[in-house]
This record gives sequence, C-alpha cells and structure tokens, in this order.
Amino acid sequence: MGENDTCLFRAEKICKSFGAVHALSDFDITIRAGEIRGLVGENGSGKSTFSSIVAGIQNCDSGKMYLEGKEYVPSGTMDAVNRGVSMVVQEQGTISRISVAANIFFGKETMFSRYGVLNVGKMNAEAAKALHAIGVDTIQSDRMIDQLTFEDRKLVELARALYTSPKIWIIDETTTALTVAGRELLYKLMQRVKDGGGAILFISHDIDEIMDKCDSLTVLRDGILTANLEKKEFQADKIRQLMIGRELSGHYYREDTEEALNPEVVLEARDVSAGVLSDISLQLHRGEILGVGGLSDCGMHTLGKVLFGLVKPEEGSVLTAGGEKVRSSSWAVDHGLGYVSKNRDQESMMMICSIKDNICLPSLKNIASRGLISGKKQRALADTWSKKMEVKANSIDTFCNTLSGGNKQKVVLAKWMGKGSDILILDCPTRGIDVGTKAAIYQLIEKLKNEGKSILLISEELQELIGMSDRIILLKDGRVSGEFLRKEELTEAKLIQKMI
Amino acid sequence: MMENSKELSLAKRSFTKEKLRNNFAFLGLLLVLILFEIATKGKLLGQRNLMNIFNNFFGIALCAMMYSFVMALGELDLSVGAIVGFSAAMAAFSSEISIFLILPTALFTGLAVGFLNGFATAYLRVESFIGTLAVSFIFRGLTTYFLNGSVGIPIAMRIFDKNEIKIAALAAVLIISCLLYESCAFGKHCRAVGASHEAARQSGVNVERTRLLAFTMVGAVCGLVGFFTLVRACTASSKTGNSFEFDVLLAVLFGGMPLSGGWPVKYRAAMIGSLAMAVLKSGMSLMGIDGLTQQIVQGVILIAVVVISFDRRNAGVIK
Repeated sequence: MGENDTCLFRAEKICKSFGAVHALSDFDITIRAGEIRGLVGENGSGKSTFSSIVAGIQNCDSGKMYLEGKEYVPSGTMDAVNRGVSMVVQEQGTISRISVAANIFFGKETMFSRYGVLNVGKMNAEAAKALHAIGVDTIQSDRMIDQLTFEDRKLVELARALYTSPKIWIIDETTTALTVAGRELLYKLMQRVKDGGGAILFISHDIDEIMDKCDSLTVLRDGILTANLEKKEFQADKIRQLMIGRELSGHYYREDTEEALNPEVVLEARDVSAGVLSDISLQLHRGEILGVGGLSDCGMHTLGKVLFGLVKPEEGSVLTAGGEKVRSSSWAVDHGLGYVSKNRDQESMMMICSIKDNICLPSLKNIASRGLISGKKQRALADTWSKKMEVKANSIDTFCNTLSGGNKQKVVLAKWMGKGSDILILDCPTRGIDVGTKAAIYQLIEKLKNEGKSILLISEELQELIGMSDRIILLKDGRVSGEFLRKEELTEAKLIQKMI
Repeated sequence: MMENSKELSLAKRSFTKEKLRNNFAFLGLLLVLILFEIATKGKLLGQRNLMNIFNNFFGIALCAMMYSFVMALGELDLSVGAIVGFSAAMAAFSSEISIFLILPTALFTGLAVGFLNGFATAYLRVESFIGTLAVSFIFRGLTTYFLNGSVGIPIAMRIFDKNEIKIAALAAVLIISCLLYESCAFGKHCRAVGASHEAARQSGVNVERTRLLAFTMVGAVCGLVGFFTLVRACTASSKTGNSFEFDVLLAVLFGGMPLSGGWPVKYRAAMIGSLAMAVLKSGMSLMGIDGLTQQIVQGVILIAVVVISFDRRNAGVIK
C-alpha cells in the first residue's frame, strides 16, 4: 500500500501570524484514515489556530492543505463541513436564543424548507434523530438552547458535528466541558468515526487522556512542530517535556499534609437551598483551601454563585465573618470576596477590552482619591499584577480577546489579586489551561493560603481537589454527600464513591 | 527579508485603517465644515451664523455629553425629545405659581422621567430601545394633553437666554460629565456593563444601579435643555423638543460612538458629533433647504455613519 492510500489529510508548511506574533510557522501534519491523532501544546502554542484553519474559520497566510489527495482550501465553516471537516470547540459553540434543533441544523435549514417556508416539525424530528444517533435521549430538540446546562449544550454540538458524518472531526479541548457520562459518550463517538474510516484530531490538555485515547500524537511549541510520536512512544514525562521545552521542576500540587484548621470562620452557608441545591451548610475557615467536588450537575457551580451573591438562595443565608448576610455580588466584592467563573469568556472577563481595564475594574473605588481615578494609578496597578502573574502580552493595553486561555485566566486572577480579596471562590480555575499555567495557578493558590486567605476551590478534577485542598466536600444531587480531610491515603476511588 | 517587508506593509495598512476609523469623526466634521462653507459662500462661518451654530450646538451638546453614559452601556434613549418637551411644559405651568419654580421644575421633571426610563431598563428589564420609545410616546401624549395648544411664561425670563449663562451651563455639564466619564468609577462601570454585563456584575459592579443612574442623568440634563428652550421661546408648545432625540442620536453616532457600547465609546465623540450636527443643521438652513429635505439628508447620513463606523469584527449583526 502506498502512503497516499492511508493519508487522509495533509498540511504542508502552514504559516499564520497575528501582527508580530507567529502563531504557526511551517507546520506540517499528516493524518491517516482511521486514527485518533492527538495535538498537544501549551496555551498559545498554536493548536487552536491550526484547528480553526482546518475548520475554515480563518485562512492561513501560506502553506497548503490536502484532503484525500485533493487540495483543500475551505472558504468558510460551512464549506469545510460540506467537505467533511467538523469541529467542536473549547468554549461555548452554540448559538443562544434559538432552539436545539435550529442549532443542530444551523446553515442547513434549506434541507427542511419548501418554497422558502421552514418545516419546523420536520427539523425538530430530524434533530431528535441526530441526538438519538449519538445516544442522547434526554434533550428535547424543540427546547431553547439557553434552557440547557453548559454540559448539555456541548452534547448538542456533538450531535451537530456528527450529523454530517465527518471525515475529519476536530475536537478542540471539549472534554473538560463535559460531565463524566458525557466524556464516555464522546470517546464512544470518536471510536465510531474512527471505525468508519474517518480521522480525529484530538486536542486536550489532559495528558492521561491523550495517552489513553490517541493512536499518535503531534506536539506543538510556540507554533513550531516539535515531535510526532506513535502510541508505543508515549510517555507522560516525555510529552510534558516536549510541550514545555524544559523539565517541569519540582511538584505540581501542594506537598504538605494534615494541618489543623484555623477555628475562625470567614464564610458560611446556612441551610441554603437554590435551584438543585437543597439544605447546604458549610463553613470556610481562615487560611483554608476548601475543595468542592461532585459530578458536573450536582450543583457545585451554583453553590459558588450563591456564596458570591450572584444567585439569591431561596431559603437559608450566606454569612460573612461578621455575621453579615451576603446581599449581592457588588456587596460581596466590597467585603473581600472574589469569584472566578467556570465560564470565563462570557462571565469573568470583558473580551473587547484591555488587560488594564479588566484588572482595574473591581479596584476602581480603592485607587480613587476623592472619587477621581488617575490613569497613572490604574497603569501602576495593572502593571504590577500582570507582571506578578506573568501575563504574556505586549503591553497592558492589549485586548483580552487576543490572549490565549491560560493568559486570560491569569488576567482574571490578577484582577482579584489587585483587589486584595481575602476570600476567593474559584470555579474550575484550571479548566482548559495548559500544564505550565496550571502549575503557576496551583502555586498561587498555595501562596494565598499561606498569606492567610481562604479559598473555595470548585473542581471537576478529583486529582486537583486531592492535591490542593485541606478539606473536601462532595455534593450529590444538590446535597452534601461526604466530607474528607487532607490525608495522604485519600484516593480518587474514595471520593467517587460519595459522588455517584 | 521579503516576508518581513510584506508583513510590515500589512501591519502598516491595518494601522492606517485603524487611524482612519478613529479619526473618522474629525474628518466628517471637517468635510461638513468645508462643504457648507463653500456652498454658502462663506456665510457659514460668518459672525451672525456662528451664533446660530452655537445655539444649535448648545442643546445637542448638553444632552450628548450625558448620553455618552447610555451609549457606553450599549443602550439607547429615544425619549430625550419628549423629556425636553414635557419638562418645558411642566416648567411653564409652574411659572404661574412663581417664576422661581421654573428651573427646579424643569430639572426635577426631567430627572423623574429619566428615572422612569432607567427603572424600566434596569429593574423591569425592558429593552431600552422599546422602553424609552414607549416613554417617549407617553410623555409626548401627556404634553399635548396638558398644554392644549401652548403656554407662555413672562417675557422677562428671556434674560436667561444669554450667551454667558449658556456657556457657564455648558462648561459645568462638560466638567461634571467628563470627570464622571473619564476619571470616576461610574463612567468606567458604564463601559464595563456595556462590554459584558455579566463580567461587570461578577467584578462587583452594581449593574442595575449603574443603568438607573445613567438614564436618570440623561433625564436631568434634558430638563435643563427644556429650561433653556423655554426661556428662549418664552412659550412651551407640543412641538418643543420635536425630533431632538434624533439630533442627539445622530450627533453621538456621527462622533463615532458604536451602538454596541463598551470601551470603544469615547467621550470626545459627544463633542465632535454635536459640533458636526450643529454645523450640518445650520448649513442646511442657510442654503435654504426645507425641513422635509433636511430630514431625508439626516436619515441618509445616519445609515451611512453607522455603516462606516461600525467595527464588523466584533459582531455579526448591527444592533
């Protein structure tokens, strides 16, 4: 068999730059039919740039792509889909305010129209079929997309991507946005595409997942191809090293163990019920890292919002150290609370806005003298914290929508560092972030703890909870189902027991 | 080497484009000035007409300065004309009790209607475009109903229609609004809410209060405009403030404020735009263009301005 028979997709010398930044330079990749090809690299290494070029979202500056031996130049996403290239993205990829069915068939509405009139019933039925085909029966196709949870919306995206039976399916950092069950489903679907002779370009930060699922692996660093590995060559340390370009020094998580809790309570939930949450009581102590875990739909994300005053509890109350009730998010910020949302791009930061203005936003009142804010003070504040957080950008006037995921998260954290908040509620702070930034965030959390600040860490990664928390509270169906103290012998299995 | 120069020229081109977009309002103003200066054979900037331009500028600029906050929020206020009319009418009625009540009544009426706009937008979550349009209809209706024609005030009140007083009022509003916009938390909060209300909320901004305040301030300044309109004509009629909302909206858009709100909303746009509008209006009058044709021209300009100034990278559809 010649090489061309198995080669499904080939890219040669792809270059793409944004201003002075080279996102990709002379990148080559060959994807064979029937393989799952992993693509890894730190944030900003060019993975997402490459996948968006293949999916027709943007054009490359130079270079050629071939699909099934023919030259492939997608004119847009619809064109790419029609040629058999589908993509599921990291951030929310659904269109809000329209139905599930309209999302699945967006751009393909003509399939269901006659004389220009859309047959909605037929489209809904077909959408239900598409959802059924990927094994999802719990989502009604005529519902508005906004009524679904973040995780369910991702499943809708999967249905959309697979409806066209793609030859190449690009999965860009999607697993972190899925529930455990959703992940299993995704793996099954990947296998199905693979068995059907298609190929998958799988982008993930989870090295264990990559090693487990992929047949071969391409490593990118700063837009340059660093290595192509076959399955037998996979080794976690080696991959990490290739990604970062240096040895990962020292530890990843905290290393100390078992520590007495400071008796002082700084934030307390008393019999709180809201949405799925029912009758939750918990206390956050000074200088403590309290982990909150559970399955994605257990209510832990709502809990974070309730504690920060974004969601009003239907019953019960959230109290701060002085016994005062948390009334609203603006009250909470004034009283030393900070919050990082799981949905970073929509909720935690202003995208069309400079790093400086993002960092300064919660601290404006603090740096004002007699109500007036000087530009100098703003710059000083933003400069200090973006340097301390090592945000990679040309200047603090850079717009945040041009930053990579890890850098965005650093800006969000810098915002609260600048404010000097004593209590931080972090909802999945390392979601979709590369190893290097992840390690930096863990170090930061530990440092904050040592400074006497209190952290509520909500996470879907059990390893992270075990590695970082002094105490872990697990939720199941909106109720506290277990509590664990920091101990060496704590394992994921013990936690999972209480989660399911 | 070649690649480098290509890159450079590309960067240069996008830089020029950016520059052009940023200074588009200045160019527009210059164009309008030159065009009418030539068309009116120099009468536009003649001494007598300068007064005319200033009078046009005065009302529009007063309102446009406060309108910046609403634009920064990414909202619209289509009721400013109605507020001017209604507060002028209420002030005229109050003069029957005492002429000292005229100014406070005008200001308070404007503030109250602005508060209503803000309350509907912030707390009842009515889309500002719809809410303020409804408020506009309500208060235009009330104005006509109460006035029943027109109501006059003592002619002596015209002493307030002096340039010194107007300039002082303009300067006061300019200083207050410019400081609030550029150097106070409030102005930045407005832009943050416009950029992403959820991110603003999660950063501790009281989103509802910010919206409420911005609309209330616009209302109050419209009351002030109502007062000056009243003392100039010494009579309030149901026509007072007619199509003023359109003048102000056109001014801020002409100045380069994007409809999408957020950080690209620049304060200077209010001044440049108001000046351009004032020149445009007085230029057209000088040339003897009738009111109907003026409306057509303004409508065409409105669309052209939005199309040219809108940054299409940031959104799919022009809101």
